[in-house]
Amino acid sequence: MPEKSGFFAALEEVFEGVSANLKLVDKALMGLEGSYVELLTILALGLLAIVPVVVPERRRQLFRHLNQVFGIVIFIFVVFTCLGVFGMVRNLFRGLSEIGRENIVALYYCSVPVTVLVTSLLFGPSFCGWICPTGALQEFTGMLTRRWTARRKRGGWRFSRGAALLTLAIAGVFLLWMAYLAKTRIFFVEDASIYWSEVLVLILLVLLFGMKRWDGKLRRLRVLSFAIILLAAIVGLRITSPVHFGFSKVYDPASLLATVMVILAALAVPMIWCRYLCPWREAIAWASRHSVRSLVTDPAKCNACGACTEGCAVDAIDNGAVDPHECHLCLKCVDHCPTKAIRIVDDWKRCGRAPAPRPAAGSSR
Amino acid sequence: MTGRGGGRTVASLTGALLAAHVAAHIVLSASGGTEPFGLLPLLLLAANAVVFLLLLTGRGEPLLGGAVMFLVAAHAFVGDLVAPDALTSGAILLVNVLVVYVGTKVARHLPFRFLAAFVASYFVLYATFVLLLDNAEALFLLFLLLLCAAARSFRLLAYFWALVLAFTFFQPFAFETLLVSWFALSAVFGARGAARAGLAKVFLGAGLALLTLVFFPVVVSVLGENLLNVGNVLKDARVRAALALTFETAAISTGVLLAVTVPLAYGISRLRFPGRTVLLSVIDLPVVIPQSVAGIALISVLGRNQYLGEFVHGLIGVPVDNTRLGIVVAQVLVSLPFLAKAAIAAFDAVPAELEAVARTLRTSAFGAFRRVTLPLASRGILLGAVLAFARAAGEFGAIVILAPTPVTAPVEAYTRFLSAGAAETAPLVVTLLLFSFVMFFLLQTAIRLLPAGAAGEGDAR
Repeated sequence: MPEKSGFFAALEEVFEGVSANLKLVDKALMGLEGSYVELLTILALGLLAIVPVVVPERRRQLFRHLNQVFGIVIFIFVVFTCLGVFGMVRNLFRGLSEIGRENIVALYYCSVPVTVLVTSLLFGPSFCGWICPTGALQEFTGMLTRRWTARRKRGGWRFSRGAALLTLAIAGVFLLWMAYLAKTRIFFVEDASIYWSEVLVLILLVLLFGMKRWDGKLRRLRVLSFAIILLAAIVGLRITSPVHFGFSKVYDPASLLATVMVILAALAVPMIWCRYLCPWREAIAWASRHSVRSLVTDPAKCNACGACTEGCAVDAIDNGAVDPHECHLCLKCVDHCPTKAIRIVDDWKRCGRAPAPRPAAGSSR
Repeated sequence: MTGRGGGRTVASLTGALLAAHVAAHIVLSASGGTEPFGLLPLLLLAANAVVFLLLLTGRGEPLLGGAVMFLVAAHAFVGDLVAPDALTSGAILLVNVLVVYVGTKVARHLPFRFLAAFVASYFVLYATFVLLLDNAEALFLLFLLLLCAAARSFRLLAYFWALVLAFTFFQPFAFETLLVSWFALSAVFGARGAARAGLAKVFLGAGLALLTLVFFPVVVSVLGENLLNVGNVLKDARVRAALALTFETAAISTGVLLAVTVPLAYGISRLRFPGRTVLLSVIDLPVVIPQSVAGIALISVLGRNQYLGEFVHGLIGVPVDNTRLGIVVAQVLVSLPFLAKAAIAAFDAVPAELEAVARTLRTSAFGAFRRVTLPLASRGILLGAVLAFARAAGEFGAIVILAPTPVTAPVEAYTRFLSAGAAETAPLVVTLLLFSFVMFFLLQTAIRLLPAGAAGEGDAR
C-alpha cells in the first residue's frame, strides 16, 4: 500500500515535528536549584487538597475539567520526570536507589510519585479524578460518546452491532498501524507499551460480549500490570508508557500508538485504561483506602434513584455505596445526587478502616 | 474562637498580619532588599490576600489560616536565606504549609499523643537530615511529605520510620531492610485473632525480629542479584542438568518414602508393640546425626568393595556410589523422619472409631483404610511429603560423600564456590533460593486446596 504508507509517512512527520518541541524543559534540570519539578508537583499537592472542596459546588465539574487541563499542561509539557504512568513507578524506584548517593537527584525523581502518594494518603484519589493526564484525555474523548455509552450502560452493556463495529475499527487501527510500524522499524524493550495497547484491544473484545461477567475480574489485571512495571524497574528495563510522548526529544511511535489506542478505546468503554490496566492506580487505591478524605453515603437520605451509579464513569458506586478501591473522587456522584445523600467527609481518625464494607466477624469491642 | 467577637478578633489579627506583610514588602523593596515585582513575592502577597478573604467570609479555620498567613509572610522575607532561588523557596513553603495543616488537624481531631509523635518525628528528622548528615536537606523535604501523610496513625508512622531507618542507618541494604521490616510490620498490624490479641502480637513481633536476622542474608543475596544474571545462569547446561537431576531424584525418593513410610506409619499409629519407643527414636535418628556421618556410614556399607555394596551391584547391575541410586539412597535416609513423623501424627489424629464404622458398613479393612483413613490423613501426609521433598532436594553432606558425580544442584553450588568463590556463585545461589522458594510456596498452597482432614483442622483457618 504505497498510498497508505505515504499518508502515514506524512502523519509521522507531523508527529515528529510536534513531539520534537513537546517538552519545554529539554534538559532535566538537576537538583533543587532552578528545577520546576518540586514546585509544580508540590503545587499540585496544594491544589488537590484545596481545589476539590473550595471550588463552588454548582460549577464543580467545570473547575475539575479546568484542573485536568492544567494537569495535562503540567505533566505532559513541563514536568520532565513524568514519563507517563510507567515512568512514575520507575522513577520512584530510581529515586529511592539514589537516596544516600545523590540526595537532590533522589528528591528530583521521587517528588512526583511521592507527592501523588502523599496526597492520595491524605485527600483520597483526587489525583486520578482531578489531575492525571491519561485519565483526563480518556475523559475528554469519552465525552464524544457519552450519550451512547450511557445508554449501553443502562442496557447492561449487552452485545450490540454498533459496539462490535467500533471495537473492530479500533482493532483495525491497531493492526494497520502495527503492520506499518513493523515494516519501518525494529522494536525494542522500550516499545513494550504496545503490549499494553494490544491487551487493551483484547479487553475490548472480551467486554464486547460479557462486560457484566468480566468487568470485576479484569480489574485485577492492574495488579499484574503494576508487578510487571515494578519488576522491569528493578531489572532496569525502560518501558515507555502511553501518554508520555517525547522522551528527551526522541519521537516515540510506540508510545504514540499506545496513547492513541487508550484514547480510542475510551470511546467504547469509558476510562478503560484506569479500570483495567493502569499500574499506578493500584498504588493510589491502596493509599486512598487509608486516606483521610472519603465519600460517605447517608442511608437515611438515599432514595436509591441510581443517579450516582449512572454518572460514575468507573462504575465505583453500587446502591449508593462508594467503593474506595475504584473511586476517582471526581465527585460526580456528589453533584448528581438529588437528595445530597453523598458527602465528602474528612475523618482524621480513619486509617484503613472503611466505613463498614465488611464488619469484623467474631471480634467484639 | 466562635461567635461574633471571635470573628472580629480573627479579622483584626489576620488583617494586621496582611498589613504587616504589605508594609514590609513596600519598605524592603524601597530599600532594595527584595525585587518589588518579582513573581514569588507578588504570588505570596496574593496568597495571603486570598487566605485573608477566606477567613473574613468565615471559611476555613482561623488558627490554620493565621498560621499559614504567618508562614507565607515569613517566607517572603527569609525564604532567600534558606533556599538558593525563588522556586525552591516556594517548594519549601508549600511543604511547610502542609506540615502546619497536618499539625493543626492532628492537634484538633486526635489525642495529644499523636501531635507529640508528629512534633518529635519532625525534630528527629530535622536533627538527622539537616544537622547530622551533609547535603541531605532534600531528603528532609521528601521525608517531611511522607511524615505528613503518616502522622495520623501509629501504624503508618511505624511504616514511615521503618522506611527512614532503612534509607539511613541500613543504607547499604536499604531495600532489603525495607522489604523485611515492612513484611514484619504488616504481619503484626494485619494480625487478627479471637480476642484483642495484644500479647500474641508482641510475641509475633519479637519472633519476627529474630527471624529477620536469620533471613537477612537470604533476602540480601536475592535482592542484590540482577535478575538477568539469574536468567543467564538458568541457560547454563550444567546448571540445568543439575537442577533437573535434583528434581528427579528428590521426586523418586519422595515416592519411595511415600510407598514405604505411609504403611509403616499406619502400623505404628494403630498398634502397640514392644520396641515401639525404640523404633520411634530410630526414625528420628537421621535428624540428629550429622550429614557427613550419615554419608560415611552409608559409603562404608554400600560403597565399592564393601559386602553389601557389592551384593547390590551384583543383584541389579548398578553400583550404589557415584550413581543416581546412591543419591536416592542418601536422600531417602535423611528425609525419612520428616515424612514418617508427619504421617504418624496424621494417622493418630484420625479416630479409629471411624474405621470401625466403615467396617460395619461392610467395607474391607483395606477399603476402610483407603476410603476413610487415608483421605482424612492426606493433608498431614502431604505436608510431610513436601518437607521430605524439600529436604531431599537440599541434601548435600551425605550425597557429596556417597555419590558426588552425577552432580545435584547443592553439590554444583559447592564446587563452584570452591573453584570460583562466593561472588561468582551468587547468581546460582539466588537461582537455587528462588527455585526452592517458589516450589515450596506452590506446594504449600496446593496442599491448602486439599480437604481439611482431622489433622488439618488446626491450620485450616
